[in-house]
Amino acid sequence: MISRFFAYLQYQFGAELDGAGRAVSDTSWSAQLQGSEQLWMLLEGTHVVTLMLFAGSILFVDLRLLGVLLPNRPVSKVADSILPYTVGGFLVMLLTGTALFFANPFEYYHNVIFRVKLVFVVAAAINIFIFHFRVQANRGAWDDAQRPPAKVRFAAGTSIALWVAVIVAGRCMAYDWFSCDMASGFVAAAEQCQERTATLAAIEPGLAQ
Amino acid sequence: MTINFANLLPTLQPALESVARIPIVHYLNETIWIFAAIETGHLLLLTILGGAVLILNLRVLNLVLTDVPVEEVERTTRSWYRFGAAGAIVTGVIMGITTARTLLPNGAFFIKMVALIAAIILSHVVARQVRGSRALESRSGKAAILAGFAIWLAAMFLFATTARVNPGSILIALAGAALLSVATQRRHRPAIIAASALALSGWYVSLDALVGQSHGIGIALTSTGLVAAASFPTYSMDGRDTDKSILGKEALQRLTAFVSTLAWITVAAAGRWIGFS
Repeated sequence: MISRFFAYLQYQFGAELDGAGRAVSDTSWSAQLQGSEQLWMLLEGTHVVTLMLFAGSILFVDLRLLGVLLPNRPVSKVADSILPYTVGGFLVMLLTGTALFFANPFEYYHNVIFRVKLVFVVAAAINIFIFHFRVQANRGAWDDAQRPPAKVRFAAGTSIALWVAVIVAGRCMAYDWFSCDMASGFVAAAEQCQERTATLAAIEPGLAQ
Repeated sequence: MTINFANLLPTLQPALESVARIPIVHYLNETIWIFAAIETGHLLLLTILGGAVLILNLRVLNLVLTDVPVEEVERTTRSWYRFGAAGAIVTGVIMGITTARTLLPNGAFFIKMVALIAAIILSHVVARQVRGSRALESRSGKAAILAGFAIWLAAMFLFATTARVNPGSILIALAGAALLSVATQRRHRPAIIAASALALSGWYVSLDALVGQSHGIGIALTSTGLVAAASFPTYSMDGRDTDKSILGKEALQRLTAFVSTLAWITVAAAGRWIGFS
């Protein structure tokens, strides 16, 4: 059902219809965004450049939590000062990332590296959630510590590892190593290539040739 | 308009192509996963570099870590800056040698190299000044700032006027406007917006007259103007947490940090547009 929804988004949503009521190719809003070239480039460029703000700033907060950076300064002073920029960067990345996904939703949905990236993003979000509501609950006790407790350092190390994994997966999405055209076995199952084929066959009658 | 290394230094291409034919270099280029690994490493190192530059420059602009002396912030980010810059340059050179055939005629690559020179000069000046070497007061320091500003403006001009690359300059303009809006006190914003609009108009008219109309150039020049407009009012920028006006040396230091930030963003954006063009 999800595959069908993303196929509708990619090929039919907003598309011009011919006399028989079928969607004319490359006229859906997704196709127009992908074909806009300059707008797509601006979105993609903004997504990548904002990485410097988002990942760069979260790295330095995590380094303080690890006790590597500014160890003589309270964690709260460092985190509260830098994190608003991290959040700002994240919002821009989320916005541009969503727009980039909208440009090619069906293919991204059936891309195993995109799925891996999403898993890492969700894991990083869970790590933030746990840190915020569990680990940080007694921040007053270790706020001034040069080397915060092990659970804090573990959360910071996990954060760095997960965001590096997100960046690596994001970069690898540019390569078609595991596209359904070439995938087999576990990878083909992981990106649901059979469902992709079935979806394409199901929507074909609704598309103009 | 497109300026690139293939046109400027025609002897460079055959030399680099002969390097690209060396078996190990050829192997690197042909083996996609190795190239992808180097490319990913380049991106990760750029992130470290970007983080270090941003933290120091935002501190100089009085926007982050205001309780921490700026000297301490510089000292603590220095090794990360050097690691990120050295690593990004090494991985960049490896990628550059293996793909010389396509890089040298690429306008975005030329812009990236020009902006990189400006970014390194300006970051060096900011760091030296923070360390208390009076870089901004010495004749050589002032010359370095002027050179850095001029080289970055040249990079921006090329960014805005190079076909298929020019949308990237909008990104720098937006970053400049965002940084400026964060950095200024609310009570000064109307004056800054007016000054920005005036500067924007001046730049747009002068550059439009200079270069003339061509496809997409209006948008590109508008974005260049926005960047210039965003740069000028920083003299009156005095941070959010203080009422005092910043004049002279401190204003120049903040302006240098501001332009340094935009110069590094220009490097990153031009790098992304290498793939697009």
